[in-house]
Amino acid sequence: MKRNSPIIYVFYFLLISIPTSCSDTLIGDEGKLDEDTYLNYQTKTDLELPFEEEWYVFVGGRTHLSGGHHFITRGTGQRYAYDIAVVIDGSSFSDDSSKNENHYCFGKRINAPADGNVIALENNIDDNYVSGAVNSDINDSNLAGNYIIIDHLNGEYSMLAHFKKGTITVAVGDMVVKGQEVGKAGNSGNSTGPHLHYHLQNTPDYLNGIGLPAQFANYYEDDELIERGEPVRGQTVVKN
Amino acid sequence: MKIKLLLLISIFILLYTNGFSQTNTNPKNNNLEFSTGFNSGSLKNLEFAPVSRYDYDGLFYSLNYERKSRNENLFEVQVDYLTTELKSDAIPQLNTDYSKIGLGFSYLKQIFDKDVFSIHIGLQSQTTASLYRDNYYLVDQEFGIASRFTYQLNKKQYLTSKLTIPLVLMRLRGDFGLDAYLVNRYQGALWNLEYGYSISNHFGLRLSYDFKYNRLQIPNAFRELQHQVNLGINYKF
Repeated sequence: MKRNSPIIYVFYFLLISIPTSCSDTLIGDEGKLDEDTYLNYQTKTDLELPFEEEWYVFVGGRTHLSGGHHFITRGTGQRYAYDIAVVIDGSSFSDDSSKNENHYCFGKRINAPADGNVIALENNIDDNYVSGAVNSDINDSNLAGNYIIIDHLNGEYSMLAHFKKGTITVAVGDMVVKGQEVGKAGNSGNSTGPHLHYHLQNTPDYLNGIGLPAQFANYYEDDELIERGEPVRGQTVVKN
Repeated sequence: MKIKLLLLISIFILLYTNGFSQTNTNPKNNNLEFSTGFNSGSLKNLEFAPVSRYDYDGLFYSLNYERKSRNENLFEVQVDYLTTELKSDAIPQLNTDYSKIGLGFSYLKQIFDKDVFSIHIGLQSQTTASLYRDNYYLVDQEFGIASRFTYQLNKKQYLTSKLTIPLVLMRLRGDFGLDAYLVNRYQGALWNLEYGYSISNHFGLRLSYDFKYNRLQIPNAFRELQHQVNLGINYKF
């Protein structure tokens, strides 16, 4: 047994020393910026809600439960995205929900949330034929369906998505002003029902970059005036 | 009452194992083991949350079956389970439940055997399902190479070190489809260090340490580091 003692000591040494070393190096620093963004980011752009009338927040908020887009499997830029639609008497549609036209928000006016330059758009993708199912030609390259990206000229970029086919009324290179109509709500791309997808990101890339919290100014949340805030799942919001 | 029952069971096991150790001298080629231990880990999954580092710890459970062939080749199957909570001091609002279920297979061929030292080398398959709260899950399938070094300290004691290097990862992300990664984007290592002690011909104890590391180099960085210390009891037959 004596001749084995050094081996056992080496075994114990390894057992104790390995767990206590190199952990920080192996995990690395990636994500510090994401963490800082989550905790401290203040939206630079003077954003207003990009629609008229009352809309209901289906996805929005900082927790996993309220912010379904936190899981940024398809596009890193949409971490703080909102999915918003019109709800009347507790429902977003009347009669047959499979028809886009029966959804209250379908065809509603969508506005520019702030001043900026339109740098990218798509206006020619069919709305999903059956609400609740995504058309077979939708893939990773056209998830957003018909969309607009607006450069706010301060390092922030707004992306509005799932417009109704052919309704976008601006062109790449156009300067838009806050509140200007840019298209109509629809159900194109990876969308299971007519709604507006909105998010703010830090690059002009399609769905990529770091997603930024979008704080809107001057709106009512369930009849309470909010000077600056982030709508959260389950709230009904309307701009003042 | 419980203590008496425990005492009776212990006496029975001891008598039973002593009985076998005196009468049965055939080599045992099958080994079934149950083990449990402490897992301490760190996780970064930017796809899941904007958190640079979650830490977690908890108990895990493992069931392992090993079969040795006439040529001393080894076939192993291992099932393990861990449930814990991911915790971040930076953003506690994003703490969440975390469970992992793993199923591993390996086949190792003996390539060296001299006196008390032997080396096996072979292939390993590892399937792991990671379940987070709030409808997010990952299923990973890894294929890699494995090597095992065994040193027999004496008739009753041995030391084993097993190193597994995955070469391919296939990852299923919730409803979002399957992606495959090779070693240029996915690096991992599993190192196991084990001390075994035979109580009898049929029963043995095992103390082991596992070091697991996985790194996926994609825009949404993924890193996971685990340390496991566990104690197992095995039955040879």
